[in-house]
Amino acid sequence: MEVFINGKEIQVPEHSSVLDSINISGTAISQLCKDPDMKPIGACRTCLVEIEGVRGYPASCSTPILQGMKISTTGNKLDLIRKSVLELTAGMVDSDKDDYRELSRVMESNSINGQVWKSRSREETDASNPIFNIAMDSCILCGRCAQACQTGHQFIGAIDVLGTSNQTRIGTFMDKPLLESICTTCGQCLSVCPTGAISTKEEPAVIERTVTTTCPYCGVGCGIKAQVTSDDTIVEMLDDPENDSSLGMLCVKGRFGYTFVHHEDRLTEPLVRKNGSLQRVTWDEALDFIADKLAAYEGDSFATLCSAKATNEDGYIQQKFSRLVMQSNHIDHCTRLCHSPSVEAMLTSLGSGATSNSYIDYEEAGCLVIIGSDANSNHPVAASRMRRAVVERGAKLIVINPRRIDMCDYADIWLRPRPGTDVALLNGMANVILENGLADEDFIKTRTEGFDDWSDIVNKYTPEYVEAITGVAAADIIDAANMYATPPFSGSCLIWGMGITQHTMGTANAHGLLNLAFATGQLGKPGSGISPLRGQNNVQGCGDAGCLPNAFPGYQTINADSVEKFSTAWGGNPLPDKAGLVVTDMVREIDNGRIKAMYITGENPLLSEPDLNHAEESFKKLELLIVQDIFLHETAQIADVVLPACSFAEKDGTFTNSERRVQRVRETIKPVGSSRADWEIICDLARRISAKKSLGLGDQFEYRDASAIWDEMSLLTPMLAGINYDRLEGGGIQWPCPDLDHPGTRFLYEQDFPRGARAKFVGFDQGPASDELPTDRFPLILNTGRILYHWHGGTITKRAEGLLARASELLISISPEDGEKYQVEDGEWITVKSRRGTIEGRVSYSDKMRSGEIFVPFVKLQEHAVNFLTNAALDPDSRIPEYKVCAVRLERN
Amino acid sequence: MNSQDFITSVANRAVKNPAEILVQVAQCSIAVGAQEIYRTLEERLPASIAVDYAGCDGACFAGPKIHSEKDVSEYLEGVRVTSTGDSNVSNYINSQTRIVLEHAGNISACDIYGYITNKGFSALAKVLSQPPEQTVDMVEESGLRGRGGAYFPVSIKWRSAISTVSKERHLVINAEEGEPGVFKDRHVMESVPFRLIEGALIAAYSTEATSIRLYVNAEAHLSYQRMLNALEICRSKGFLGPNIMGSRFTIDIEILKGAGGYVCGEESTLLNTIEGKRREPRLRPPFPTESGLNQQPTIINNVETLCNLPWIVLNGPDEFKKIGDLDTPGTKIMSISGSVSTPGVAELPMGSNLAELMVKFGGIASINALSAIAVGGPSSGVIPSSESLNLSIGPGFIDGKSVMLGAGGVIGLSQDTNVLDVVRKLSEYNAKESCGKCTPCREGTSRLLELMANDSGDDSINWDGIGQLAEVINAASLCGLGQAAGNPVLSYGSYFQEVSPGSQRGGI
Amino acid sequence: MDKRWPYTGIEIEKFGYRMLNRSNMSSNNEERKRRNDLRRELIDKFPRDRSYLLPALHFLQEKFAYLPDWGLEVLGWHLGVPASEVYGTATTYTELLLSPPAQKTVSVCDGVACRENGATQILEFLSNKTNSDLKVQKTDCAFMCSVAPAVSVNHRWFGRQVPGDVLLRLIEN
Repeated sequence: MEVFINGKEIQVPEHSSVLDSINISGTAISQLCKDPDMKPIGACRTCLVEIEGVRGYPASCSTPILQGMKISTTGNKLDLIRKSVLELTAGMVDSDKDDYRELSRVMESNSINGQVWKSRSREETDASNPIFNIAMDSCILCGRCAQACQTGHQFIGAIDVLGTSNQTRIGTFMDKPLLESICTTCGQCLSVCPTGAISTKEEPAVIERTVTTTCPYCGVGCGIKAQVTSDDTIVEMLDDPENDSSLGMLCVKGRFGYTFVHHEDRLTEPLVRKNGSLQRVTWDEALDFIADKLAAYEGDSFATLCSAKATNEDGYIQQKFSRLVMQSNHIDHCTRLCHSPSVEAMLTSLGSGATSNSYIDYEEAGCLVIIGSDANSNHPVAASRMRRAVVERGAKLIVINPRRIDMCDYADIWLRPRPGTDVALLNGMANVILENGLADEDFIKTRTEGFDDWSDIVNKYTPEYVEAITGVAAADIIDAANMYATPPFSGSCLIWGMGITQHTMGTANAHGLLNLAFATGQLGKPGSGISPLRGQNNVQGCGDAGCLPNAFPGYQTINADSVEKFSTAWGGNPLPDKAGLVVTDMVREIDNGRIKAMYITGENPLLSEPDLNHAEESFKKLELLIVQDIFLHETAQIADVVLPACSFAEKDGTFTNSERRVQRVRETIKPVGSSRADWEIICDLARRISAKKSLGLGDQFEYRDASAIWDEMSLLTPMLAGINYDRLEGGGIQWPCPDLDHPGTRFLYEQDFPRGARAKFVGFDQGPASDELPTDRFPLILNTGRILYHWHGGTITKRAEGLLARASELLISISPEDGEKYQVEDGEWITVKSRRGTIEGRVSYSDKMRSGEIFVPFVKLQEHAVNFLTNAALDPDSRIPEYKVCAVRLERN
Repeated sequence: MNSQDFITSVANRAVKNPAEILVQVAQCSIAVGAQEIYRTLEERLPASIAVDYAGCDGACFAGPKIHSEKDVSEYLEGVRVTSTGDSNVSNYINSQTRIVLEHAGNISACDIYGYITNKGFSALAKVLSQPPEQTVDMVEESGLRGRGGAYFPVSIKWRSAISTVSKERHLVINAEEGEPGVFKDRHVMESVPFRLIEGALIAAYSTEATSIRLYVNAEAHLSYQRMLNALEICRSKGFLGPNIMGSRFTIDIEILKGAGGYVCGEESTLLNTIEGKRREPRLRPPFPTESGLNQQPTIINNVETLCNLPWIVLNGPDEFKKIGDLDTPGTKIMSISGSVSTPGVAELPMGSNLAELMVKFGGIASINALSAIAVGGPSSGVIPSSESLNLSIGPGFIDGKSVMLGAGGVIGLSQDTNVLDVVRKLSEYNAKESCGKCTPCREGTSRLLELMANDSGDDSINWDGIGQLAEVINAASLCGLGQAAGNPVLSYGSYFQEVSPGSQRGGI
Repeated sequence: MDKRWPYTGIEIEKFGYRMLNRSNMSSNNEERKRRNDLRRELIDKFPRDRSYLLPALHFLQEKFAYLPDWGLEVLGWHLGVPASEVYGTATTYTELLLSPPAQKTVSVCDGVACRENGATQILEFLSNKTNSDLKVQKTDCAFMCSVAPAVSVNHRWFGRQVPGDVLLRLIEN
């Protein structure tokens, strides 16, 4: 459409506002309360304009344009009014402070200097949050922060506009300190504040450049814009509104957790163990040392752990190194400890182990089922998008969790099964769906197989029968099944996390979920699908890149053809043709003396393995342990060689997030110390070994840069064939993307499945709830998981001051009933014992917990990590340990 | 059975004859002992004589009052009460033109028979028998305008909502009477609650609304009770709920209680309140008729507005247009108070002379008994009594500057009242009631007070600065109330201070 | 069904806290029971929809004479509205009390009409009467203009008042 701004005709898209058009035209106008990414508020009244034929001085932010509208942004009266309003605005803030960011700039451009009105006395600054302050004496009540905390972005609602008239203020429930509110310190408020009233406690630094890259924490894959100073320091992390996964949102870890990059603990030089202690050496010395040693361990005695935190390129090189140079398929990564059951189940039933849909499908769904996942803590931004679906679009929400997670606040139904009884629960829901004729007969007939065998199994799981097993009321099971099978609009999404997988019945649980989706036909269409939420930034990519014992990149299972294919591609050299060991079995085989040398990058098994005391004994048995990481963590401390790797901020590459979106990681600062990118180190090592043993493989490890590696990988991986770095400049692309013209894929399985035309029902019976059950000596069930302020074992987040300040102690959540029963006070420092170990932490009475169950996050704080307690019992199919259930007791110190 | 017969059949099924004695118990008269009189009569009257509640007929000055065909003075020994037969009262009532307040005070407010035996619900019966469009035309023809203060043509509002395609369409009855000095909607609801229900049903049927909400001011407890009771009766008698009056028309009225705040009277704020949001206005566009309650088309009409509908339907648009002036036909209910001897509510033809009504219905000797008149509450202003001689009541600025009729409140100010204090009071009210959302209103109104705070006589006050700021508030604020928050000082400036507003900096 | 607070049929007694923060966790049994009872009362009375916020706030105020913080919190859980927004909304309505009212409150209407009829003198007359269990305050227009000046004792209004013993006796009883 055409409109005229101050007489100048310009073209603007339909449905633009007058303010949009003014901004498009490049005309400067103050817009204090209008955030570019949020709906207009209309509070500041400084974007006023005159429009021909319209009475008065409308606010341009909330006025839609009409064809041929004649708009003027200036004029005697108009300027006078704007000036007066700005003078009133200036009267709200403390005149002594000089930098009010956007406000200051606006004042300047409207030539307002000094204050006409003496500034109002305002509420005191809320400095309770360790990371940022809310200073009301710098606030102009534009309302953007509250909007960002509420429906504008995060759907959290920790702050709101309180009071009226000159008592109006920004505050929390009952005007309590921010720290006592439900604030998650995501900093979205701070990012939209136009005056700096909400800002971090640090002094602002001078920014030299901005680098757009991808968040290194969870699997959501938020876009981040690193603000870098001239001395190569990251001083601020901004959200990226352009990013299709995060839509301009960030959580506390993404926005404030980057400081680990500059932490003094960073490894800067290679270390080699000489007479008992790790000593600094040159790269040459370290790599030659390894080359010499490794030569002896070719084949079955060598195993490697890849890193789900490293890039796709790193992972690809590492598995290539292991297969090609070391002739070993003993390659695995941490997915074994999180989603291997999901992957196993999906490979069996569908033929591909990935999330079938996208975050946008959550927003469009009519019903969301979140089971065994505390998304608010572990995938905060994805959780915001789920809350958007509920609050804004009225989607139904079913939460299934033994703990009362915060997402329950938004739920229509909350099912609280006894730990380890999910198979029965899911079979029960399936039973209701079949009994009440809610199944999608057509989908079952045309697109699935194995229905009859499966239905024979679920037949006996009547709601009453399931109630007896799970403790969930039959009526609620029926309600939930109905809600999932018949969403009010669009489709239904199944979203799950470790609560499903980290059980001895993990794979059975995952199949239970897939069966529900098949029976109701809730996948392969918008607003539906199955989503195992991935915990690590690149756990999806690490698997895609072939860091698996049984498959080449792109899940090409190891068989004659695939071996042939890759052998040819990699210079016609031989490759091992039998599947290797998974990580949990590697540990066993170390005990058995089969595996003698291990190369671990960006993993810390001595914190993430179950039953840590035993794990440590095992790893000590290794003849050669090479650890490549950014910090000297527990595993590194017992290594023979430690190699300093770059962090995400110091290298180029790609991460693939939970919705299969391949996104660029960009070198933001120069490598810290003499650290190098994982792929560079491994290539260097490979060349040295090749030379030493004259394998002639040197040229297989010569790469110009990361993008060259990607090109090789995508060439060999059909689902990535259409993706390259040039295309990624325009934003992330979701695989499968078979060719260069392919836009990428929002959701999978529209027509068929990787395994063929039909998905496979796989039925399971409920087995024993868990390997270990409460006894008189160990009467409580321990449930583990993560908390918002720490990522995983905490090796990284412990080194981000802000995050540590927000959660510095290990909290042991118990129900008040148990607190009284076992005579431990709220806030008391106590000991928790299991058959395998002991930890200490602080008691936190919490009504989130059910009597008989306690929860401890597996982050290691003050030398206490819950995995000293957990049980190494494995799921038979995926070999995942049962982190979620073990028996413990409390002891007063 | 057609709806007219339905009414007759209900009337015939009357369990008891309408009470012979009505005690006018209304918010005003309760405060001066009307309830006690009702109790006394209940005790003293023989069972043969029934007593019932009515609302106040508007002659509040004479309250407490009873309305009775027969002489019951014997039962009222030693009780101070006025009869509606009293000449002061009857003159006061008879010299008005009553459409909305017809029968107010002389029919029961708690029992439906009094209303239906006076043609009650026959208008609705007629409407139900004709296509909705026909009624909308009729209303357009009548030229009826809203009586809440904006005087926007009712039919235009209706048509805008009707033309918005939507499964749901809402009618909200604005009974959030929050303008200081106005108490007429209370009188309507307390005395003729059934007329409001009939009017609302006519509007809902004509605009094909799917829901009706009645939003009553938090402090109007009696109005709330009377409406609650009236709604219940209508439901039980088939005038509300499924198949109203035997027709295919089905709808109910949900009654809601406000929680205080002048700005709640503002349309979009009212919607926020109903949705459980902060008490603050919404941005326009979209307008409520396009996207109101739950983003669906919503018509918001004032109590007095809706109560005109039955009369218009029964007597036709032409009769209606004979009353009032051409641009704004019909009547307006004025709330008269302050330094007058007969405060109350009077329903008068639009266009009536202001001075005349102050004298006639204020019961003052002459207009010169007053120094000034505060018209239309804090969104309007004050004018010298002398000016009122050539002003008449009607929409918009009645003086063409800064004084609006608003909802029809007029407060007489005595000769020894300090008008500046009154202006301060009105401005203070605006500052206190500002919802706090937009800067000009929130900051500006309290800055106005700072500027006027000076007590050492008017001369030391910078009226240029004040006028300037007042006009900025009016020009830049978000909602209708903010855009009027400067009026009190502007009116004072133009009538009591020899300054041209904003002259200092060229004016706005 | 979909309008109730999420619960499990068997564990009806247990429900979670919105607050992440320990200081808001109640280790006190009475406290938890009190919240639970109110929660179930709200479940019975109001569908789980934000449009019931104002009616529910009225309900709380009738029940407790003001809006206790824990009540607002429970209400937030029931309606699925963040506590800060429940509070933020409540702070905008003049009729809603966020702290317990005085034993006896005498309000003198200070509207223009009442001033014209002697409200100021009444305020002067009562100015020194405030004490621990009697609070004298002035309010804006109470819409009693036609029987001005008006004085209310605990929300019951009396019109045509004059300073003097009659008024005092009114306040007494």
